Amino acid sequence: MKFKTKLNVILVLVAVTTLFIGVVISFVGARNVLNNRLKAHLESVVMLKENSLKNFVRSRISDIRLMLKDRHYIKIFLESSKAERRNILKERLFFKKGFIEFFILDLDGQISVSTDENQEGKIKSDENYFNRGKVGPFVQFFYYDISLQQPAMTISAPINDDQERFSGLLIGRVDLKEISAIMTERTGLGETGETYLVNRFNIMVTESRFEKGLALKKYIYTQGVRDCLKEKRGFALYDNYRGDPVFGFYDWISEIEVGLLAEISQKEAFGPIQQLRNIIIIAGLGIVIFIIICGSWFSRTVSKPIEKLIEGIERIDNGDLNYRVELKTNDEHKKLAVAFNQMTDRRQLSEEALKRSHDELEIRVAERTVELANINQQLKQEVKERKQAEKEFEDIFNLSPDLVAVCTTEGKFLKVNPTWEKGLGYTQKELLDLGWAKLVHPDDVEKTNKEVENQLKGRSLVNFVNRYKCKDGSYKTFEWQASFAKEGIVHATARDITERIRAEVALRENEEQLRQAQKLESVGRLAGGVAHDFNNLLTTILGYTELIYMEQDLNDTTREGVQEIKKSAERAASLTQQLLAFSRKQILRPQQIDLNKLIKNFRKMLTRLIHENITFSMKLDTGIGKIKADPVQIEQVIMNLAVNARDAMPDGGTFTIETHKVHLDESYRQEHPLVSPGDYVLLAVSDTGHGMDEETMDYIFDPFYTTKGVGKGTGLGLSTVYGIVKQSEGHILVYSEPDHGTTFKIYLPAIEETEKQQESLPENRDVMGGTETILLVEDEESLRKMAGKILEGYGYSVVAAKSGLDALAILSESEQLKIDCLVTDVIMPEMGGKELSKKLLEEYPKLKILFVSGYTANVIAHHGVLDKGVSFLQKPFSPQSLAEKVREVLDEG
Amino acid sequence: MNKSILFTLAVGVSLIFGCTETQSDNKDKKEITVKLKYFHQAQFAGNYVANEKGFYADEGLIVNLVPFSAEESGIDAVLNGNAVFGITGAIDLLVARAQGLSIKSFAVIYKTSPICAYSLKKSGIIRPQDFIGKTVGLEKAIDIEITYSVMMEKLGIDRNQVEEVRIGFDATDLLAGVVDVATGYIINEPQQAIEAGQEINSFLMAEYGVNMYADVLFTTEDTITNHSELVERFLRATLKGWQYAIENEVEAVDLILKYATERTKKSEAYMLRASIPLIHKGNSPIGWMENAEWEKIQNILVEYKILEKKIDMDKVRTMQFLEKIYNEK
Repeated sequence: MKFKTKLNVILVLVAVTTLFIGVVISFVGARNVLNNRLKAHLESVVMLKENSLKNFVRSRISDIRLMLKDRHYIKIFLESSKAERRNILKERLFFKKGFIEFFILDLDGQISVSTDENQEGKIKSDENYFNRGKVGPFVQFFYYDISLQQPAMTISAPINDDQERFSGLLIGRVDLKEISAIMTERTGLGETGETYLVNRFNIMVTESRFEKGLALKKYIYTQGVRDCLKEKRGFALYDNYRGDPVFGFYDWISEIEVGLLAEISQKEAFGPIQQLRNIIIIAGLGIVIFIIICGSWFSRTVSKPIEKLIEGIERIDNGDLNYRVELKTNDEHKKLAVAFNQMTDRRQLSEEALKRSHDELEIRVAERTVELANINQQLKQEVKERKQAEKEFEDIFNLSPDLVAVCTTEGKFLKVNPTWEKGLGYTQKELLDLGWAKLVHPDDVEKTNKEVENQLKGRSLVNFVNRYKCKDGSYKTFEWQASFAKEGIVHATARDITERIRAEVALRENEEQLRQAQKLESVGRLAGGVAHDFNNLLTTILGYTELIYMEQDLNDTTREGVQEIKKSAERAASLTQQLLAFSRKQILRPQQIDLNKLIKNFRKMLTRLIHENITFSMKLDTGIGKIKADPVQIEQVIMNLAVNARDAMPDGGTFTIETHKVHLDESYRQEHPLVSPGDYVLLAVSDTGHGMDEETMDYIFDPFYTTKGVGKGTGLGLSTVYGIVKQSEGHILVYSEPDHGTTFKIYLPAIEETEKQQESLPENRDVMGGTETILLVEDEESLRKMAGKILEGYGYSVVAAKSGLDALAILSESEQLKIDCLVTDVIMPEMGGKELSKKLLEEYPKLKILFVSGYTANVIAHHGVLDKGVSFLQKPFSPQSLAEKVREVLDEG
Repeated sequence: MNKSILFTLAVGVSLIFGCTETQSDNKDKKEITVKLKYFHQAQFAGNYVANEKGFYADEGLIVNLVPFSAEESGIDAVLNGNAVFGITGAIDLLVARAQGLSIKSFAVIYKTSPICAYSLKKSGIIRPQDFIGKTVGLEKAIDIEITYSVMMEKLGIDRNQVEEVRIGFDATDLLAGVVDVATGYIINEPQQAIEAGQEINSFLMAEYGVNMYADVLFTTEDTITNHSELVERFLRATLKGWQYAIENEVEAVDLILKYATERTKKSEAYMLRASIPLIHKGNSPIGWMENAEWEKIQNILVEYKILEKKIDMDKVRTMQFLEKIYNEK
């Protein structure tokens, strides 16, 4: 090691050690002082905030208490009108700071009046502020209030009347923004300091100074919060909820059930110490630099001349004969240098002469060598570039997802890329043998040839589309781009767009299906509403015509007339029934049914329906299991489809009913978005008739749309089918081609068999009367009278009432009256049928009940399905069906 | 000498990192399936966040979140072993339990029922009393029908004076004017009407004294008894996921959209914002269940004859996991 370096190292070491010891001692001392001062400062901030917080909450509680001590307010709260009470609350809200709502709860916990009218009527009986506020002032601290849709605190206190009886609760909602404001106001905690509150679930309940929207959202698990939630008071250093190292002071305020934390960033808190440290470091560095400069100057005067002489000897030894030693001093060192320089002069002269002749030769050889090297380099570069270009072309050709080919205009391939093999299924060799012309779809040959001719004229081909035959016989659609290369040769790329075209078609179909379904839905609602009103009218018409018909002394003309009225009314009733079916408002009685069995039983009926020149064929799959549906409605579906099939084949043909079990998966749903995936039973009904065009298919499910001649069809047949299938949670599709026939495919959800159920319908029997007493409740007078007459005609004693309340009044007046059966309308003013039946069942648990309604409105049925044990008769009804149903109800176990 | 220091450092560093690496690898990962109550949407934000932020992975779990399917209900999926955990309605759980199916809830997500009624602002309908003389559309769902019935009875409103009709699971009928009031879930259905450009009034039925727990987490009794530590790990990560979603709404919406690929950012942001107050009010821990609330639902179901008799509450829910997790915090 050099003398100069040694000297410098020693000086620096001494200086740095002294400096370090000095800094550590002063730093530790200052830090301790600061720590203590910070602790005292934070503690006083916490106490200050704690006091203003407690004061704020206490003042709000006393605001409420003072109002309730004032007899004037109590009197208004208990005796005045709602409007007056609301006004006085609004007035108080205006004058009282810190509240956002006042309201009064009645004895049941319902808001009877509030400064916010929208809150009136809400029920708060489950809230703590109701249950615990009954006995004295209660505060529900810090929570997100659903009614207000903001964080709040709620104070409640009982309203007691003159006799100190509990008569309700006065509630005030405190705005937590006020408390956040108290907490976020700066009070000497510097730039980074903040105070906030945390509840016992580690949730920050006030806003942060640094980030909006944290109140009641931010969970904090810092050391400060953990210690604080142990209901302690103290001081600690830790990382806060934002990840900054802080000094924190915390205190648990049990009165408000909340922890208060005051924190200041360690960086800011230690600011003064940091400054001190920086000054010491800068001063120290200054001293070190000063020592290094002094040291170098001293060593320089001693060692520099010797170093220069040594350097001179070394350089001349290495051949640098121009070098001369120069010294600025004037001592012994200088004389030594002069002698040395003279010796160098002499040696230099002799060496220079030798060198000149040698150099000339060297230069000529070098020039020639450079020329040769350049030529060689140029050749190498050219070969490399060509190889690169070939590789690029080969890669692009092989990797392209499009089909790329070099072909002749004569119809041959010269070169094809591997994508062709994947696309069409032929090997490259087969393709080269076959040529492209043989693969073009026969229908596309003409336009393809035309394009090739264009090519010969030198035009390029853009987005030309045609179809190519695959090895498996199928066709794929390609979109071509090509350019003319040279005589008879074309460069072409093709993209397989078969999938894209298929997807576009599928998408258009989906949109169409959806639009159709929506249209039918809205028409259905309209139809359902109309049918409801018609039913009531028709019940009266039918009932009275039947009564008139039963009269003995009618002449034949009248009898015939009545007969015609009855027939027409019945046709109208059947029409409204179909409308109800279409609008899915009719009551279904679903049961587990074996569709195959149903079809077999129905076969005779169908054979009668279709003409003799039509062949009836059934292909029933035995493994289809069961479906859940209303058998009568499914028969209706089959019958309507059979009638349509018959009318479509006036010259004969084949009518086929098929069943299959099918599983519809996710891919099926993509084509038919209204169908949910799962197991279904498919019922397919086909004919070989004249079929339909696409326009007709768009409308066939619309009510009153018919292709049959005027007066021949109602236009409701297929609408009814649609309604029933939809209500049975099924799905219907139609396929048809003009002159080939039509197939309706109905998918009904398959079920797993769970319970044995009787499948047979109750058999017909002779209508029998009885002598039991029947309570008949119906609000429409004409209907009530008519039903009364019918039932009396069958021998029953009838007690009639015009409403639920009326019925109860009649029963309470005559205690001896024994009622066997209640026949009631469902929807009536004051008290409906359901409520009445509930009341009566309490008194007569064995009472039989029959509901009558034109419209279900879901009142007695859940999801349009009847509960077990509840009987129901649809309006309009015939006298016979009423009597039958009443007997059936009375005879039930 | 310099080289040897570098070498020592390199060895030291690789030892430290090497150790942590092998530790996390050794923890055997368990793959489980969770069946959701509905299609992928913000309703299950906590689960998505737990998955995407690695909370499940931290608990040694690989979790497949499977949406609702018509073929197999969540309860069936858990009982058949096709899923370990499920999310279902509290009512459905009670009904299944009454049928003897051995499943149990271990946390509630929606403490406040999202069932609401909503109407066009211009109709002036703001509370159930305004339904009289109007047409109310009811969705075909057991929870909505029960909540509606209890509310109307509790308020003493005569249902004969209200026209009640069936509607689908969206705002279509309200917008078409078929009904004056629609019922549904407040977390998405009113938003459809708002997006259609309408001003809306809505209120939660829970505000009229009929609050019932909605979404609850459940599994089989066997899992609870024999794999309790699995339930604990799953629940801890799920709760953490919900906490994160509540604290970081904007980021959570992006994570939700990774699953709910057919939804818009707007719709999921609305759903998450509307859901948070129903899940978390700040005055009890996320997921925490109250016995009284379960009893209340049960009493309503018994009163409406949906349950024949009361069930022992210890068979319906367990607090052991929530208590353990929150005691450790």
